[in-house]
Amino acid sequence: MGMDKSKLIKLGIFITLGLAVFVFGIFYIGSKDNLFTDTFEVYSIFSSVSGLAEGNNVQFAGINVGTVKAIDILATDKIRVTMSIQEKVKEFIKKDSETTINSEGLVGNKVLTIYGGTPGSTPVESGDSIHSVKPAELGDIIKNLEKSSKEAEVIAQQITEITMKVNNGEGTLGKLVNNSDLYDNLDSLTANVANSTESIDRILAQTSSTINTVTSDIQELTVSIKLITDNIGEITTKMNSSQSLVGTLLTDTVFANDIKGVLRNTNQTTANLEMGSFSFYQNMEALKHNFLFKGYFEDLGYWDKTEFTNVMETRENRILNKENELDQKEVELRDMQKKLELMRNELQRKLDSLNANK
Amino acid sequence: MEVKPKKKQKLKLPASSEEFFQKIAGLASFAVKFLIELFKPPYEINETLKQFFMIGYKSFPLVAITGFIIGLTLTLQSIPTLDKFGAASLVPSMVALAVILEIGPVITSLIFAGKIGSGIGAELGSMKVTEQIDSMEVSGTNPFKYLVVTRIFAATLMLPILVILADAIALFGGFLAINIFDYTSLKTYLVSAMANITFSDIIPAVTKTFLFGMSIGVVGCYEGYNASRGTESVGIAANTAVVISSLMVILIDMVMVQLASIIF
Repeated sequence: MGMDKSKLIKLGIFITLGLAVFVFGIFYIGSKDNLFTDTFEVYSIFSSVSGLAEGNNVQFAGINVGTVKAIDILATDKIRVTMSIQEKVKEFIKKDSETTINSEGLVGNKVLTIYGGTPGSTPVESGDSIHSVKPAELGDIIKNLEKSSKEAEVIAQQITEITMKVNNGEGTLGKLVNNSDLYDNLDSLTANVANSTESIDRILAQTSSTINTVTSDIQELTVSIKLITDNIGEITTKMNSSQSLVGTLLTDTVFANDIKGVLRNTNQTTANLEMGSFSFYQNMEALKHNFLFKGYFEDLGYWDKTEFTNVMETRENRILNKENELDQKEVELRDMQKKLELMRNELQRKLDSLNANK
Repeated sequence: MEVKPKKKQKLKLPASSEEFFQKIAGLASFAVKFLIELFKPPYEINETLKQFFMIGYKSFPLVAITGFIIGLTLTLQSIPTLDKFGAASLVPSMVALAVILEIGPVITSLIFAGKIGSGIGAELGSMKVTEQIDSMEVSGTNPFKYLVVTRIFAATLMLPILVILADAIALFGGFLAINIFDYTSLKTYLVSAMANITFSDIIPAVTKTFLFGMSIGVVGCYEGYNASRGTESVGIAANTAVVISSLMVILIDMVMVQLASIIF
């Protein structure tokens, strides 16, 4: 008893379809569980796994990279979680990475998260242990919340107390809030500040005008300096042209020699005068010793040998001094001559530079 | 003194209980006989293929519609409830878990029991009543091998395929249901649906469907094969087959779920 062909084909399609769906499901879930990819194993030690179960996902940078393969209790506070992780992400998980247990959503599945790791450090190897960070337990969070709420209660109470004090006008803040003096003071202060601002504005305006004046003065000064410089130029030119006394002094060496001669003559004259006066003195001494006039001089007290000697010495010294002075004058004249020479050179240079600037 | 030999005491049970245990023993021996006959040549390949077609392919439309509607309604009803908890995104995952683990295999098997269990029971029962089975024996054909083994084997192999297809169709129904509320791509839906399903979920779920199929086939065949010789017994056989096979499905499911949780 055979079956016709169309029925066989239908049956074949039916079975194939069923098996195809089954195989698809197997492979889909298999790929999710990393059954058909190369994997390696690492582990972490936790004190509590917070409900993590075998088969839960292992995430790295938010990507599912593996599953929890086994959870074993090693000691009271030592639970070893073995992870099966895809070989292809091995290079990205470093030896200094850390693991923790998180929830997918507030009440979702637990996931083991691998994070951190210094770029460039050594990647993990199969069988390595990754340092674990204690997961935040819901119980701990609630405990912390309880603590926080108690503290908040205390704070609220204190705030109430402060508010009451403020309302009653106690303390600095209370006075500040309830006393209007401060406001009045502030008001007047504001008015003062406004006045001050006006004054400052005025001062600023004045300063501005002063600065303007100064600027214009400076401009004028510059013009004056220009004029002066021009005048100096003219003067220098005139000096050089030997029309003036100074020019003559500076330029004419003959004139300088004449002055020198005059000075020398003057000195000679002075010396002659000294000599004349000395001769006169001798004549007068002779008169004193003359018997005709002797009585007269004796009465006056002039007849004294020592005194005469002294006077003589004094005269002599004075003459010597004069001589010295004359020598000095000569030296000075020479210096002056040199200085004049220098000044002439200097003026000549300045004149040249002025001419060049023009 | 003459010692009276001890009379062998007969097991006395109420009539209904007696029947019950008789049935259990009969079913067990029938199942064992099936397993023995299954591996013994000659093999009725053509008849087996025919039964594959009749039991598997012909049941597909019914199972497909059931699966589709189950996926659709389950999703539609889950969305508002899970939305209240802000977990609407978990709907695909929940529907997939429910369908693949429990609802798909059990509902499909119950539908299958209703259609195939009663069909086999009625068919074999009528054959028994019309003495076709007896005549088969006379003609030298092994009626057990030809009628029973082929049907049980077909039921055992076809039900898992039907369940897998029903699961897939139910998930598709869920996808359409989600798209009534919101737009989701098929890929996103599948990723979300399969997120929490592992091998330890799929393997027991598929394994138990073989047992469901076998039990439905065994019960159906047993009831039909052992029908008494009245016309009304055909109806009784069909009815009992459905009732017992449905009950068997539920019982096996309970045991298998427990067993799976121990093994996986």
